Amino acid sequence: MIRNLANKTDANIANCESEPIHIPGSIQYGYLIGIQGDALIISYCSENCTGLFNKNITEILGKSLYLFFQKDEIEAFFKYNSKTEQELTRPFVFTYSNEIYHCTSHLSGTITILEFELFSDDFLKLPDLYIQTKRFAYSTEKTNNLKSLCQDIADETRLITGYDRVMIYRFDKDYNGEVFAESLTEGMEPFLGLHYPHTDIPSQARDLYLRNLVRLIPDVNYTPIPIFGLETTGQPLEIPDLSLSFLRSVSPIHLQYLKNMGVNATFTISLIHNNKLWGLIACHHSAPKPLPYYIRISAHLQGFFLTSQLDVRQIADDFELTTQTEHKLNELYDILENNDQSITDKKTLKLLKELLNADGVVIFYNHTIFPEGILPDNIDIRMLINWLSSTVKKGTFQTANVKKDYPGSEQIDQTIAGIHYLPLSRNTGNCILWTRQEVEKTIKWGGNPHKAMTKNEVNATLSPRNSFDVWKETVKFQSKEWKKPEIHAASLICSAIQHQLHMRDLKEDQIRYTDLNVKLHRTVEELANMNWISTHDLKEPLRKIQFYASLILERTYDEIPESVKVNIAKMQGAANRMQLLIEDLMSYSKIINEEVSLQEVDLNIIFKEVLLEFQENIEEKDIVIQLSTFPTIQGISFQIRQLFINLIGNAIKFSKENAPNTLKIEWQEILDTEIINVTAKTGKAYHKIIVSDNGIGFDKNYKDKLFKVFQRLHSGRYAGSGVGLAICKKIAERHMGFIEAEGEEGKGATFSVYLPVETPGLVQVLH
Amino acid sequence: MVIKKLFLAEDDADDMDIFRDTLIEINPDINLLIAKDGLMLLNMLEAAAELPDLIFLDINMPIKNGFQCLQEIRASLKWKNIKIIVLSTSNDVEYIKNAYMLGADLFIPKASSYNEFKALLSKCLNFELDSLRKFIP
Repeated sequence: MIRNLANKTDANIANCESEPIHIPGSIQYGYLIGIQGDALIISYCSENCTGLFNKNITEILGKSLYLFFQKDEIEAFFKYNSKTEQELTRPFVFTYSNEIYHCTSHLSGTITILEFELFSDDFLKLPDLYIQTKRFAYSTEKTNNLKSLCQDIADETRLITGYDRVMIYRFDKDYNGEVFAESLTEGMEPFLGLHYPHTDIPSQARDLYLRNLVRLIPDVNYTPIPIFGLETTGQPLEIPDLSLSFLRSVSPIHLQYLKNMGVNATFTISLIHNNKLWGLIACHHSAPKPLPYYIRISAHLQGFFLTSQLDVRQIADDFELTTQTEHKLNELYDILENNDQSITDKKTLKLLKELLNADGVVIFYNHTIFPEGILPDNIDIRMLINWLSSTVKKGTFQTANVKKDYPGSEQIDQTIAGIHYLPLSRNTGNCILWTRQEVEKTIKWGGNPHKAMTKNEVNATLSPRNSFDVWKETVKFQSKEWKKPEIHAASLICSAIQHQLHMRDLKEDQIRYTDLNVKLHRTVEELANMNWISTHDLKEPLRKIQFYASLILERTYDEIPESVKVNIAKMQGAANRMQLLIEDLMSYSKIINEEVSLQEVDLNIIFKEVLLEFQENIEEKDIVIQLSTFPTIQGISFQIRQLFINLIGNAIKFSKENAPNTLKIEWQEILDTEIINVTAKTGKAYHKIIVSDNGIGFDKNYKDKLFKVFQRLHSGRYAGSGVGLAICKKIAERHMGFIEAEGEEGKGATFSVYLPVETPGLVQVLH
Repeated sequence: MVIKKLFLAEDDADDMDIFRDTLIEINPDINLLIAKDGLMLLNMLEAAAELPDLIFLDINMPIKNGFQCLQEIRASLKWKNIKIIVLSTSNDVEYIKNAYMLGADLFIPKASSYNEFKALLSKCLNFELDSLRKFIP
């Protein structure tokens, strides 16, 4: 059964993108034959084949191709076809009824589609091709940017083809198009610089253009020639996919579009770059225009010429920017190396700003803002940086339209439309931020882009806009885009800046340390002085007081009344306490300051002597002493003695009145891993000397406070300067050890002194 | 030996009085001459027709301190054998060592009790110096 496959559906569809343009079921002109199988059975043919072969359609469909063309012609054709290089350059030529037709073929599914056109130019004029190529080579040399090269190509293409208008049409990343270059017949309205919305060339058309590189519409008002197919019983008839067909009938919406523009013939060439549709060479003519075969090829060659140059041109265009940027970069490197000028100086910041051709720059370091240029208030800058550091997880971030991403953009849109953000370190939030102001851009659209398609109210058909008058759109809140060389320069300068900022910090630290060092030295000197002062300025008057008090008491004992005796005794008591205090303070300061050297100290002897000194008190208070044996250690003899005098003295002083009192003095050797309060455990060995009593003890909350100077827990009842335990602590520390206290009120106290077994030396005096 | 003449080198007014008063209590007949600094002491020794039996020397004095005097006295042929007792407010071990090294016969710290001082002074006047020596260098 014979079926007419022409797609009759009007564009009664919601959206252009889904129009099935690849299966129109008809052709514009020429002849199409679809053959299948080894017998070359004609299963499809265009209706006008009846005229070509002078036969009925029934006599053509289902018959073999061999019936219509010479056998050797067909075989030669298939031989030609089997060459892997299906070049367009030399078409195959069939002869029929003394007419020459060129033929191209392609495979569509299982169908081999043959397309025939009358061959109007019969040979390729090589000299012309030579001239064309030469002119192109000359043009690449002459032009120094992409735009002028495109202009030359547009001009050349028009020269070759004779179309009224040849445009180089370039797509942006959203596939909106711009007329980048144009060659016009005089008197025509220029479209140069106009933008066209992406809907003008819908996505399925663009996909087709990637596969099918040239498309010709010789006459916009053509009557489509339907294709007939032979349906074999039982099998549904496949509508051939004509994506790769040259003669394919085109979308009626597109034809309407062209008619609305006043165009009657078109020829388009795809410009492919990096496997993507970069743009088109679009040729328009105001009258119908067929295009001979070899002219098409020459025009297509122009397309290849152009795309071959795209990379080179891009690099060349970038080159100037790259050179400028490199120059600025080197200037900055010089300044940063020479540490005198800081990166945060106004002058240097200005250079940093200009490195990226920015309007403003901010260095954010150690929570301080260093701004330069056109910027909003510091508060707003801080907010922006906060948002950036929390949002941008990896790498850098840039935008030419900050409004799109940043919620707080209203605060800053007076001064910032574009930013380039470069974090310096992940944790600290330190970063560099370049900003650009908005550049108001006016885009000229060919017609209102928002009304690219209108829906016909009556029959719900789609029709393209019929007004192509220039429609201007003002785009706001966008800055100039950040170019690759600029972004690259930013990352290059990053580490140099980080380095300089670190050096700055180090310098400041150094100044601080020097400062502190000086202060420390002065303090030590003063302390050393104090030692001497204490001796003479404090002790002398004190001695006098004591002496005169004793003078009164001892010399005139019998003559003075009892009350006076009592008062004078009190005076003496106070003076004596003060003397003790001064002596203790002097000991304390001596321990820190005095230069001494290590001796062999036999602890057994020390304890024997100390206990001997306290013998009276021990007997008085009835204290039972338990004494271990002790090793000989390295230390400062008089300091060690002082330490234990203080501890044992305390134990005796704070023993209970009537209870049986014991004083235990023991020794252990212990590793620092076993000591709870040591943080850095290295396996160091210590002598642990424990002095424990069962006296009145102390509140365990004060076990650390005890050792502070003037901390007295039992003041009033018990005499003491409040410095004794501080002295013990200092002595232990001087020996590179430490001291701890444990106690319980009413139960007793235990003091543990840790002294390292191997003392590498004493904590030295600061000089 | 009976002491008849004493020199005291002392700059502090109170200490001067204390010494004099205590001395009078012990033995009012002893002749006491007081120098208020080191230089004056040396001048007094120069000018003395009779050398003193005993010199009490304070360390901390202006112009010439006790150590300097001690050195000079012990260096001179005329005076090197005079008994010298050094007084000081400090009981710094180094001071004491130094005093003996420079040739002092005794070092005593200044007292803070009247009775103590009186007993000490008496012993000195009886030349019971050895019993008072606490430090053997």
